[in-house]
Amino acid sequence: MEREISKKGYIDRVIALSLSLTKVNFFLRNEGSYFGILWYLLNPLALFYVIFFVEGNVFTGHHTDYYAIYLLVGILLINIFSGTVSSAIGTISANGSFIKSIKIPEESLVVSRVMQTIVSHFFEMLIILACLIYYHLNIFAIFGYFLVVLELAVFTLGISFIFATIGVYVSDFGNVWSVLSGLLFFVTPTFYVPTPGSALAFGSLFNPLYYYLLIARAMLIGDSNPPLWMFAVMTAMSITSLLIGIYYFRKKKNKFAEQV
Amino acid sequence: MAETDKKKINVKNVSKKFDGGHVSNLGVLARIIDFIKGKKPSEKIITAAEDISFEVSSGEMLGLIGKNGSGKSTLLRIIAGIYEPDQGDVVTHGSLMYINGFNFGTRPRLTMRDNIFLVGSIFGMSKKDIQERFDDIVDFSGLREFLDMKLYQFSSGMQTRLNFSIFIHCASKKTPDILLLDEILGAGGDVDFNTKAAEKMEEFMKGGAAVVLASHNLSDIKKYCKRVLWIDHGTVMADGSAEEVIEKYNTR
Repeated sequence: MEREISKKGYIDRVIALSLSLTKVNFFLRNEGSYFGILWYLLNPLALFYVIFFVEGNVFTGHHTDYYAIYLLVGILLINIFSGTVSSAIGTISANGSFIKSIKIPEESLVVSRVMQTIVSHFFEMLIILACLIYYHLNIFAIFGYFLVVLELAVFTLGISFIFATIGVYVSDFGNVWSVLSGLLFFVTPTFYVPTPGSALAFGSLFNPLYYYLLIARAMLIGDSNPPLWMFAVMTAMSITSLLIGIYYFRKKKNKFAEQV
Repeated sequence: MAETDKKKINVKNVSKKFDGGHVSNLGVLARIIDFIKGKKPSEKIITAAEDISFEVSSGEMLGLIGKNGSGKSTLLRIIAGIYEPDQGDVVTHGSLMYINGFNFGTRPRLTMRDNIFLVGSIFGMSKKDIQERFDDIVDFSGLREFLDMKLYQFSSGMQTRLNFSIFIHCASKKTPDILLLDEILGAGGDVDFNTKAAEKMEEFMKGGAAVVLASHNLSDIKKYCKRVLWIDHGTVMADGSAEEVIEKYNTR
């Protein structure tokens, strides 16, 4: 049954199919207009302006010097995570008739979701770059930042694998996720700065996303040096998430065709 | 060895059951309500395959008949590796092609040209491979003048032609060793195209492929298959020569 393909051959197939799905989905989203790219930016920017305005006029105090960048990175990274997971949850069911007709590497359906997010993020990074220039910060910091984004993408991929699998068995899991991700936005220090030593700052240490946000911001703004152990924890979380995700997905994926 | 090499498909004691109750794929909310009501998830087991065994050699064509829901498609999907059998083994040798309703993930909002590249990559072909076959695909479908039209504007017959054409050119690098056809001959195209499609299928069959053809069209079955399997509720009702089994099936 030609299933004796080597592991490497299989991974190559997953990547090749993911790339072409990504390309197609990206193209479809921008169908017929180059302004389609603006849609990627509209949502985070609108949120950014509202929070920036409210924060500046209603709340006072405890701003960091570069609050605009702080806030922007918070919103964008949270969106990378929530948005990708949310689209991954429905992806298997959405491609149901297709999975029933042909044996494909199902992993691609999830991987392409993450790839798509990364591609969109390239456009978002242009705004970050503009901010860096505006604040006379080091623009090369964007490379360090991008490494953190890649680590976040790996973490997100792992979670997406798990949630995509659950989404096959639990039909309204997307609704559950929209509530959870709404809460996540407020629980994570996206738009506020937790006072050092506070309960909130301590609690955030148990929030995986906090590490990515904190390190990404430190990379760009460069006013604080996160301790080395935080980098270690971040990387460990990415790898663990991916391994568990792949394991769980592969364990269940042979039943997908019957469930969708 | 030569003997076993010739057997392309070897299905041994395959059983498959589906949970037809309402338990699978419930929402969280429905699960909670059921729990509060004390409602036990109902168990309705549907037997789609029960201890089925057969072999198909290269160059042989096996017909598969039975009512809707008798388990024909399930059996083909098990052979294709899309479903896993609960019990039993399926061994296949060589490249495999499973054709059912031609739904391979074409996107209505893409042009025919883009869809050819998309579906090609779904089948695991490189861009170069697809380019090499591009003209064959377009010519076989007979839709060259619509190459840059978006698929949602295609009639369903045209879509079938395109899908079929992409499929037979892409699914396998050469002629397939195993061909599983699920209610496929005469599916949707006009007479000219159906003839063309049938010819192509016959070409594959003559090329030494082991073929399983599931169909409700008994005259097709009679025409192509020497041996026929009649299944009902996942159980083999009859297995033998085409005339014999079709006779039994008609007088059931």
